[in-house]
Amino acid sequence: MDVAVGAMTAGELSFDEWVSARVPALIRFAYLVTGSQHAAEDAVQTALTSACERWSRIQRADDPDAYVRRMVVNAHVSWWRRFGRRESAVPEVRVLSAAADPAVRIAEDDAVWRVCAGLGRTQRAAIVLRFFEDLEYAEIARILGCAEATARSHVHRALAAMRTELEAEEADHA
Amino acid sequence: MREEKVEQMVRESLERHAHEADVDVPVADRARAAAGRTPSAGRLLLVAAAVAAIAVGGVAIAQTGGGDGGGPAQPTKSNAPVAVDVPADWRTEAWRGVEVKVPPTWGWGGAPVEDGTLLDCGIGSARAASDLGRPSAAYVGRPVYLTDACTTIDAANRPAPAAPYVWLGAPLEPGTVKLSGYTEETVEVGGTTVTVATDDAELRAQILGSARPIPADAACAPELDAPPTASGVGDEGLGPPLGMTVCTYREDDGRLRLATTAEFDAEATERLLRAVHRAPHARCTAPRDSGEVAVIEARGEDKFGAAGSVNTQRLVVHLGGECPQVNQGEGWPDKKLTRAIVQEWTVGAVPVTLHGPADETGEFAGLFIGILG
Repeated sequence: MDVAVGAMTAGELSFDEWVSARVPALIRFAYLVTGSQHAAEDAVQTALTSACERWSRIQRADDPDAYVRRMVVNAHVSWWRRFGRRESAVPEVRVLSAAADPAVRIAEDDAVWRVCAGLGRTQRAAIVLRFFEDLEYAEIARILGCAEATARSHVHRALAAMRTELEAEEADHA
Repeated sequence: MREEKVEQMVRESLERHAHEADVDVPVADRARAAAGRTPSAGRLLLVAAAVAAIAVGGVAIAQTGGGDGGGPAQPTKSNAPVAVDVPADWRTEAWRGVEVKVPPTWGWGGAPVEDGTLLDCGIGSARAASDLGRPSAAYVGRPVYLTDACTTIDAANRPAPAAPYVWLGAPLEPGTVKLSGYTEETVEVGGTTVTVATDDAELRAQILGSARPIPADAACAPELDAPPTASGVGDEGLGPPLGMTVCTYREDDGRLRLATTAEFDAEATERLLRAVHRAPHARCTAPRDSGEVAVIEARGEDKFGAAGSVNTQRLVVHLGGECPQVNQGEGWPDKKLTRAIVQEWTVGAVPVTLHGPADETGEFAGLFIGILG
């Protein structure tokens, strides 16, 4: 869900101009990747600190958004490693808005979010990049620093886990 | 449940959860404040910024300077080309535009990765040269992700090396630093860096002195625009195998860049060709951008040529994408990638440099880095 920054390219933007347009999208992206508000803020702040220090170089990049998204992913990974965590952050449970069938929608939503919480960090980032940011696999691979085949495999395996969980939910409600 | 439905549910769920995040938080202000407290230029700089300043082809040896184990020295300028003989049994290691000779007992592993900041994504020895019977903790490291659990490296306080190493393409500034008893020297050759850390000054000079740009007519080109076309040898096939050269490439910024090179004997070549012959036909087409590619030049006797003449067959192995396969050239069928085909050449640096095919069944386990996570 990229935010358009007018008709200007990043190369014409100052760090302040760019960041004011991008922070909401980056926090949402980081929230989905990390599963918590606190971790999302931590990851985005770390990435933006690095981006601020290197802005003259980053603004010349073809796609500074991708550059910073990658830093968000790595900032989260580094944070996770720094504190010796081997599990994903626990997703925060929020009340969902009403849907056509609220009970089913909530159950499905919980199932998706629960599976997301159980994914590896890179696998979860791949899912978010694919289905929230709508990126192609080549771009996902570039951001994750892996082969395109690996990015596809991350998404494929995560979807398989989702399907299993959702089918179990369906069976429970049948 | 159909995959499209699962995808749609994931999209909707992510969209809803994304809006749970509180985006009205002053992270930009905090980042600006944190950036102001941090030195704006670390001691470790990007290679790219310095490449243009160094003449390609010159092997530059840094002058030792700075501290004496009490902290990292500021890298000093490189300026003295030196060429040194190395023992005949040293092997050649290549990465992108540079090749260098190293002792045969050194293993293989990871080097620092640059991703906006300097990262440790698996630095250290990951694979010993155990087939020699006298493995060494020393290693040749390449800047690849051996794990996705990366840690940020504090450029000003890098830890002491656990063993001697050669890093190819590490994002370090040319020069010399002291690291708790080790002297680490970085030079630029062939558009990339060679870093050597050891307490043995003569060894360091030998390795650095052997570094040279990969020549344009080398068996393995430093980079390719796209995977080359495979080329067969006609209906008669290759005569008795003589050997093969295997060049592997990883895609970066839209180009295939040299990752490893290796030579193999006649027996390995014969086993590989037999494995390709026995493999089932590929039922799909390899994409042009499969990410990782191996180019194998198999040499054999020319059965119908003059005595002593040699014929070659170029096999192109597509490791990435949804259809891992071997292309044999026009008139010959593309073959599905099998363990027997890759295990002949996934030795040395390859298992810790290439991620390999998406491996749902574990067929290629142990032959590549594999899926991270």
